[in-house]
Amino acid sequence: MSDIHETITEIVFDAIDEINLDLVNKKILKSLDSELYGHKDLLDSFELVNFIVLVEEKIQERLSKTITLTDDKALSQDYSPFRTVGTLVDYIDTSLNEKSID
Amino acid sequence: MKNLLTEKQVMLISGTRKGLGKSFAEYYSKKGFTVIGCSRKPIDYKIKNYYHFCLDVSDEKKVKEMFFFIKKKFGRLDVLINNAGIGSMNHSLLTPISTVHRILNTNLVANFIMSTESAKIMKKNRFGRIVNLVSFAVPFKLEGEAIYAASKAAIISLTETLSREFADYGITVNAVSPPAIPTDLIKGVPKEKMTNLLKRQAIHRYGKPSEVCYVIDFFISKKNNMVTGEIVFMGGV
Repeated sequence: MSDIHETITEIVFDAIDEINLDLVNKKILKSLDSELYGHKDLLDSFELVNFIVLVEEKIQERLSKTITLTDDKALSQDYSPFRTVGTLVDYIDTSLNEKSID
Repeated sequence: MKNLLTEKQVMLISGTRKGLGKSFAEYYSKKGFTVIGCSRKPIDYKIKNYYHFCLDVSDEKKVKEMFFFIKKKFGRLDVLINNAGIGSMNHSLLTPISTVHRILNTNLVANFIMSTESAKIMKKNRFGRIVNLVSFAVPFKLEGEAIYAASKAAIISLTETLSREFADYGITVNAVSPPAIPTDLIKGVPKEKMTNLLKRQAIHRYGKPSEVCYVIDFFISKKNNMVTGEIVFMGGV
């Protein structure tokens, strides 16, 4: 795992800790395999919005980079990058990499 | 959640270099708010408890940097007044597309960016007040103001929809349409047209910035938790 991938994972785990404080009767596990949404025990649409905003903020704070995770690219993927913690970390890594190439 | 760096309420106002925006900055600074303002060009005045950013409100990157400053410096944002706006008096057949984009970017796109970035900070404290500035150009269907009126009609729609999206965060979103006020925005409008316009208002006179502040005071009051998605047309439009 690269350093940046590890840092992004830490950031997302950090966001999970914070979002879990607001969740009632459910918790998102800090594992790359954890699912984020899709059934009632996971995040609903409102909680998912809060979680994504939180992750964006933490990336800005830790990496000094602004990123919009819900751009057209994310929404047009065959498989949503928000399915699991792992797919989200991979998507952030790719996006930040593309951004630095821009 | 209480993690505020300052006890004072923090207000952000766009378009504070002159006109109504400057009046709002002066008024709310005197009322004890910490006021952050922005405009494309520098300001030529000084106000206590006032911070100014020179930026184009439709420049997402610059706007996000400003919000990063607000978050770090104050840890809170209580009120946003989306005041920045431009117009261009011209017949639609003579309006270049570059002008259309410029008006929509400043009046609509910027309003959206400012509102969403504000909501991200406000929602942490479960409190926020967003006030948009709209215009009688919409109900009066003013000729020569097609794109300006369209942009303001879009803001009315945005006000109504965002009020629903932000309600669960304790954020209200309302809009005020000031009466005709002699500012730079209407300095190019012929006197006869303005006289006719005043006749169409129930109150046939120019308004004052302080009168607009009364409406904003109502919208942003901490006690006013149940009024959202409302549009107030001043002057009896």
